[in-house]
Order: sequence, then structure tokens, then C-alpha cells
Amino acid sequence: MSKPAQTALRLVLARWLMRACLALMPKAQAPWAQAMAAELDEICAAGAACSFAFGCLALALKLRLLSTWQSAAASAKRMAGAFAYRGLSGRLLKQMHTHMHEASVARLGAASACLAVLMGGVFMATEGAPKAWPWMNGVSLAFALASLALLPKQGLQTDQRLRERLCFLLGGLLLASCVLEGREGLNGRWLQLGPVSVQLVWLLVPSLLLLSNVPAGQAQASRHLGSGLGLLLAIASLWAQTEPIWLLLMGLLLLLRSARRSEPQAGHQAEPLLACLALLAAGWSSQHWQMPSSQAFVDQVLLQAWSHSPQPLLTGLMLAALLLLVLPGWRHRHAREHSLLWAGLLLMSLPGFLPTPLLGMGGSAILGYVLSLAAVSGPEPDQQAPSKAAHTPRHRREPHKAPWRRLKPR
Amino acid sequence: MTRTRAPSQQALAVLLVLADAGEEWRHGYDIATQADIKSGTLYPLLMRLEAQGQLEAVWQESPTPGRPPRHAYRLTEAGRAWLAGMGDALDQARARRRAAELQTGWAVAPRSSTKPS
Repeated sequence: MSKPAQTALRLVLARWLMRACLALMPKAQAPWAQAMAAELDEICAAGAACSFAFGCLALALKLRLLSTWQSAAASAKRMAGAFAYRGLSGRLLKQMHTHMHEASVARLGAASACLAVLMGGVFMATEGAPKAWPWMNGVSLAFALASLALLPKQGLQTDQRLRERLCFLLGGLLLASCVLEGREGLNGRWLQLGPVSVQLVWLLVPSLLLLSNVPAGQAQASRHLGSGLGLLLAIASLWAQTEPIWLLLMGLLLLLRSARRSEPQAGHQAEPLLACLALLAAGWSSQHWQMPSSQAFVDQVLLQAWSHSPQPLLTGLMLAALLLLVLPGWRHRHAREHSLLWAGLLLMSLPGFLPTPLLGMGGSAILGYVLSLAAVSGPEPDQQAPSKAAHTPRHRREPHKAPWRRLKPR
Repeated sequence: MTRTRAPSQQALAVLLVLADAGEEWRHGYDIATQADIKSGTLYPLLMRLEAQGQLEAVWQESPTPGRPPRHAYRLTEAGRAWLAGMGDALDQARARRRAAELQTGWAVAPRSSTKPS
């Protein structure tokens, strides 16, 4: 590589590092991050700029971890205080409820993923799985959480054009991956990307499906060509890779989505068609599909835990951790599709049609779960701000009138 | 009661640069190069010194159009008084810095690799 190209690459890297620093820095220190970014613009030596930006990023990461730890410790202290002074009363439960309600989809999902991976790691460590496996899951989780922190979540939630483009891009990537030489391993097709093997289906399909969902408020904004095409490409790719379970889940989810829309809206006519296509493809590819052979600590992990452990405690905890994965959809209406999809995947993993996500060994599922949290569409307008009526005492609210009464002439 | 720790060598190096600058405002990268410390060490020090009231910071418009405003720093009166109370520690830090300059053949004038504005 020529020297000018190296310099340009280093400068680009420095800018990316600084961008990550700006995103990671806690709100209280945000002006300091801006000061660092301004300094970067003044450094002319590419190596020095890189080193400067790297130092800033390390500092931002440290401060972010510190602030997260402090807020978690403060919450724990408050809860412990409530527990100590008032006993396990309604107050404590109310506080827990408030914390859960206020937490965003991404935070709830990330916390659930952490718990599930932790429980899976404990199971693997205690039951004699290869020593590296829990750590590998941990590294995947850390990478996924860092990626989630860096993703522009607000833009992804609200910018319909960006969602459509990404959906199309993911569909294209999925289809392109069929051309690459994959490794037919246990339970699916693996791609070797550098030093790691990934299952692109787990990585991309959940995010693609959620990105293709159009928030109700933006139904008229565009024709949804990008999302429709993305879904079509995904169906073609899953059919080519003989993935009937994924196709079945996709078809059911699209059917449910189109059934939930109360009125047919422009651009949504394709959804039932795509759903039928996915179900047809699922039926077609199921004829060539073979039930994968089970691998310990990857498939049917709950069943394995139940048969290995004489005490039901570990299995119960693992089941609870697995059920926590659908918590975001339970707490937030706009995240229900995310939870439905992952509930479907969990159900399909019980008999061993798919590997057990997050509890079992597999970084692709961890990344897929965490990254799909960013692809959840934004809350509908009526959910974003509480209505005026909600703040008005009941006795002062206007009595509800039926529409025909409102139209009655005086 | 708050406990004031003895400043570390890096902190002394930063304080020395700021003390030498006097009333002049200095920018983050200049301080880092003159004190010979990394950005990840410099900024926590600056944050702490500012929080303790020993340092003041302002945003300065860049003379080059299109570039964002830069953060500039200098010691406050309280900072200067605190530094004057250190006596020996500061002199030792100054001597160390001079020795390091002689060893590396570093020019006495502050080196700067920032873009001309």
C-alpha cells in the first residue's frame, strides 16, 4: 500500500475511533468528547491522530463502564434499602416495575441477553463443556453490546428510508452469501469470515425481518419497495440454503403482521403475498431438509440440563433466563414482533430443529438477538407521549360520547 | 472532609506546562505533546483539575473557517496558589523534564504538530 493511501486510511480510522468515542462518552462528559473531537481536526500527523483518537476512545469506554456501574450500584442500593426497611413489600415490587417500565427496549433486551448468556456459561462450566466455550459466548456478547451501543438506534427506529435501505442491503448480503463457499456443519451453514465462523442466517434474518416492519405512523411515507425486495431476497436465500424453519417463522410473522393491520394501507399489499411465498418455500425446502443431529451444549440445552442436573434449580433458572428474552415485547408494545420472532425461535429450538439461542454455544445467535434490538421500529405516535387525558384526574375528564351522539345536531 | 492526594508525575507534567503558559490559553493536544502524555491520561486529569476549580476552560472559535471551536485551558488563581504551595515537587518535575529534554535532544521550544490555522 502506498504511503498516501496509508495516511488516508489512518486518518479515516482516527475519525471512526473519535466517532465511537463521541457515541460512548456518558452525557455528563459529552462536552469533553467534543473538545477531543475538535483537537483531532487540528492534528496533521496521521499516526499521532490515530494514537490521540485511540486514547480518547479508551477513556470514553472507561467512563461509560464507570457510569453504568455507578447507576447499577445506585439502583441496587435503592432496592436493597427498600428491601431492608420495608421488607419485600409492594413498594419494592413497584420500584422493580417502574425500573422495567422506564428501561428502553435495547436496555431490557441487552440485560436479558446478559442473563441468558451468563446462565448458559454457568451451565457449560459446571457440566464439563470445553473450557473456551463460555468465554467465546462472553466475547460475542461483549462485541454485540458494543455494536448495539454504537448503532444509531434513534435513526434506525424512525428513519423509514434508512430502514428500507438496510433491509434491502441485508437481503442482498444474505443472497450473496449463498454464492460463497459455505461449510455444511451441524445445524446449518457456516461461513468462514477471517478467524471466525458465523451463521449469517442467525446474524441477519432477525434484523432484516424487524427492519421490514413499517411503523403505523409512517405508512404513507413511501412505497416500501426496499423492504419488500429485501424480504424477497431473504426468502430466495433461505430457500437456496434449505432453511424451512426460518422460512416458516418468516411466513407466520408476515401473516400475523398483515392481519394486525386494521386497514389495508398503500405499500402493504405485498406482505400477505410474501408471507404465502415464504410458507410455500418452507414447504418446498422441508422436503430436502434433514433433522440436524444434536450436539451437546449447542442443541436442546434445556433438555440436556434437565437430564444432567439432579436438581431442578439450574434448569429452572435457565428456563427463566430464556423466557426473559421475550421481556422487551412484554413491556413495550412496539417490540412485540421482536419477542414473537425470538419466542418462535426458542420454541423451535426445544425439539432441536434449531440450536438453542444464547444459552447454548453460538456467537451468531447472540449477535443476532442483540443487534435485532436496534432494528425494532419506534413507538407509535400514541405511545410516544402520554395522552392529555392520562394526566387529567378521572372526575375532571370529559365524559366519553359515542360518535353518533357527538354528531347529533343541537 | 476531602482528601487531596499528592499529584502524580503525569499530573505534575501537565501542571508544569500550564504553569509555564501563565495567562495564555493552551489546547489539549499541545499540552499532551509538551507533557509527553497520552490523550487517555491527559483528559481525566483536565476533568479533575477543572472540577476542583484549579483549571478554567473556554471554547475558542477556530481562526480557520469550517473547523469546530477548540477547548482551551489555563490555571485559575486558586490553581496557581495551589501550585506555588507545592514547592519542591514542582521543581523536581521541572528538573526531570529538563533531563528528559536533554536525553532526547528535545528542543526547549514547545514542539507542535498541529495544522497551521
